[in-house]
Amino acid sequence: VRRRALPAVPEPFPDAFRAMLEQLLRHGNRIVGGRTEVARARRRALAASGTFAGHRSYVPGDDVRRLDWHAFARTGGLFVKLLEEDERRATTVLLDTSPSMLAGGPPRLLASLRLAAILGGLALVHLDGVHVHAGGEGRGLQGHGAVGELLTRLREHVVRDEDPRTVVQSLLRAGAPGKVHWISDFAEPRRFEVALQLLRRSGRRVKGWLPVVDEDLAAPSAGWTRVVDPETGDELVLAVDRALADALAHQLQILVRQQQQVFAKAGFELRRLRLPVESFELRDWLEVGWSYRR
Amino acid sequence: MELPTLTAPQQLWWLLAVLPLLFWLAQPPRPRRMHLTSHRAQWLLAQASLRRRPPRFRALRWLLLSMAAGAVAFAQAAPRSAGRSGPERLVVLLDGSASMAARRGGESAFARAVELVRRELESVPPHVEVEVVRLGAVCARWRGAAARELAEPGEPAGELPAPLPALAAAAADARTAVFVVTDGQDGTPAGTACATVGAAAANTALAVDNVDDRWPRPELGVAVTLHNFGPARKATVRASGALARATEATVELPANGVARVPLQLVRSAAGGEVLVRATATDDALPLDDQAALAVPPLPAPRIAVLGDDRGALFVQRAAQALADEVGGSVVEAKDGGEASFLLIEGGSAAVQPGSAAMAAFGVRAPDRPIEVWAAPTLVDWDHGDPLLAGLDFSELSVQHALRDALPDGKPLITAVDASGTTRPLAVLVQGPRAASLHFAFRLQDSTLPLLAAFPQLLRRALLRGHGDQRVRVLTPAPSLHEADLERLPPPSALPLPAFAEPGQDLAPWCLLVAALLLAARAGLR
Repeated sequence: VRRRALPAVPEPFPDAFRAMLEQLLRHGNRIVGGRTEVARARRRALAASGTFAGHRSYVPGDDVRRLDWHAFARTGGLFVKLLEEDERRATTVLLDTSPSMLAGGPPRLLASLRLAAILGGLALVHLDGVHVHAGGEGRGLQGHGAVGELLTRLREHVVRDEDPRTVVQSLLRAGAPGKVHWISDFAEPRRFEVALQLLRRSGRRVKGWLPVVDEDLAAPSAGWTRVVDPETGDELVLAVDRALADALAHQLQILVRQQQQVFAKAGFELRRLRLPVESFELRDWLEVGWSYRR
Repeated sequence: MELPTLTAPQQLWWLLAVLPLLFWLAQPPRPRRMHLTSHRAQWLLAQASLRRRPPRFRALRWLLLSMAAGAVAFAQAAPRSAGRSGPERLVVLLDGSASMAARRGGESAFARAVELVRRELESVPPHVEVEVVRLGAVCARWRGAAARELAEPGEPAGELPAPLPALAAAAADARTAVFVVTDGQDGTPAGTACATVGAAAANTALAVDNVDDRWPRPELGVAVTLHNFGPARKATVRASGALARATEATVELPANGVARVPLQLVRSAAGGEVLVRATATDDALPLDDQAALAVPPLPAPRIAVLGDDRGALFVQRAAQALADEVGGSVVEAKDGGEASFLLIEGGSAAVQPGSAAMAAFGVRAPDRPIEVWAAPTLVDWDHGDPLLAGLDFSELSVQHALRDALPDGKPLITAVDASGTTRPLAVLVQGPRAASLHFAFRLQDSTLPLLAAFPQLLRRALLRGHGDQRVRVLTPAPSLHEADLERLPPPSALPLPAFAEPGQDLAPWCLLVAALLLAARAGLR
């Protein structure tokens, strides 16, 4: 199959985004989803009797009840005690970097990268760590200071075709912790069905994130159009008219239902969200409404 | 298997323009807008729900259309199947020589040959160009429908202009077949379609050897020769027609020999055609059994006489003797009377020389004075002139004659006078319609009436006045080669060769194939 040169992805993390991300991460409890998660984490911490495993620096938003006052008395610095139970308060961000993510304008991968940066950043800030798996490679990051490294890791992703099942198997072998936040287009739901079942059998919780782009909603402009699948390189020459656009919209609705069914069948949640990719205003991004679980 | 032949192969050049055009038209559209999608399956399903197919190059559809275009171009090139090789033209050499008139069973060989040619030509394919050539005394040629119909083949006569084998060899070539129909007298060409229609038979040919024409006398002697090609037998020769009475003679013909028959005939005064026919038993060729002679009428002259008292006796006697010899009569010379020959003795007469057939002896013109020429001495006479040829005038003696009384004309007899001057004694004046003979002396003053040449001279003068009237043989001498029918071969036939068959026109089939290919293409989604 003749493959076309894949389009380049615009700079995912320009300075404006980095500034906006910093603001968003400092926003703390005002993040709707984040407040819920903190409360739930607190209940779990109270009920837990974990073993002391070490310290880490305090960052705004940490539970003050877990401050090690003894260490504060000795050193004058604020440290949070890490118990064995808290080690598991990490999450995994699984980013699909297959060529199909290049579809859309701007490409879906751009929104996915920024989404992964936000989710990973929130995990670094509010949890104990995050495991980022993108482009076939995974790595664990901890602490607020690892946000820069997180962005670097995400930025250095490699676009490659990966089978979801293979990715999940790799993820499980690597011992990726916590809840898996799977960012993908889920373009072929059946391919993801096996992978989701595999995660379910391994006791993992999964949340699907699907950044919506324009092509998920309607056909492009009318007229003779060449439609190219970036994953296979296959082309279609179409005379796009009203009838075909309507038929495509109908098929896209069916696809949405199939995606939802696949996740529901596995007992997981799939969230479709439209990201303000072209905006770097904090207000716009806060309107998305973030929530995450371990 | 031979491949079809393209009559107009230049039409195939269209394929160079048509096929690339069809290939270009068969290409799917190439839109400039490109859209990356992760929903290719949804696009396909949407199209399928609308029963649409994506436009793309269909090699089979293009191949069918190209083959249809090729078939149409092939049809334009006028293809024809190979057909059968062979001659495309037929030349029939029909023997029309005299021997073809030989009859057997009441039908001539020529009639059988014509019927055979018609029958054979019916089986010749219509695309074959047919030409019939009749060879004989008169050659004739027919082409096309006239040759196949052969409505007026004519009658056989004469000899062949050349041997048939040579003519057949000259006419034949790679695309021309020759069919010879003959009686086989000159042989049959080898390796050529040939039919012989004759059969050996006995024949007698009559040829006129000699004609003894005694005109203006009625006697006519004809000597004929009978050439017998066959066994010994009797033959009868009969002369009839413009004769005072028919004459018949019987002769014994030797086997394959010759018999000569002299016939003494007396012609009728009116003249006409005399037919001499030989009749023999078992004679196959009647064409050469007779000869025709054109016999001029007898002059039967009316001879008028003018003479003075003493000389009238001489010319009267001479006129009577001439009339008796040629069957004429002596009439009185008077104003308003008609005469075909005039004899004048002495005196003067206002007669224009050369205006009428006449003989004038010592006649002077009325306005001319009398000048006597005493005792002219004969010098000579014109031996070469037909009028005097063979006649002897050496004994001619003239007592006296008229000097300078003769008109201008051709001197026939000359003499000298006492002064030694040579002058004519007789001249011939040839006019536009008649010839007149003028003598400078009278008969009574000479020994001319006593000469043996005198009656002959008068008769010749009479004949000269009436022009040349000789018997002519109308029938040419028969060809002994044609008359010999004994060596004719028996009838045989060598059939015509297989002619070239033109190939079938394949253009309709090509168009049908093109239509089927288009139908198959239309049914192919």
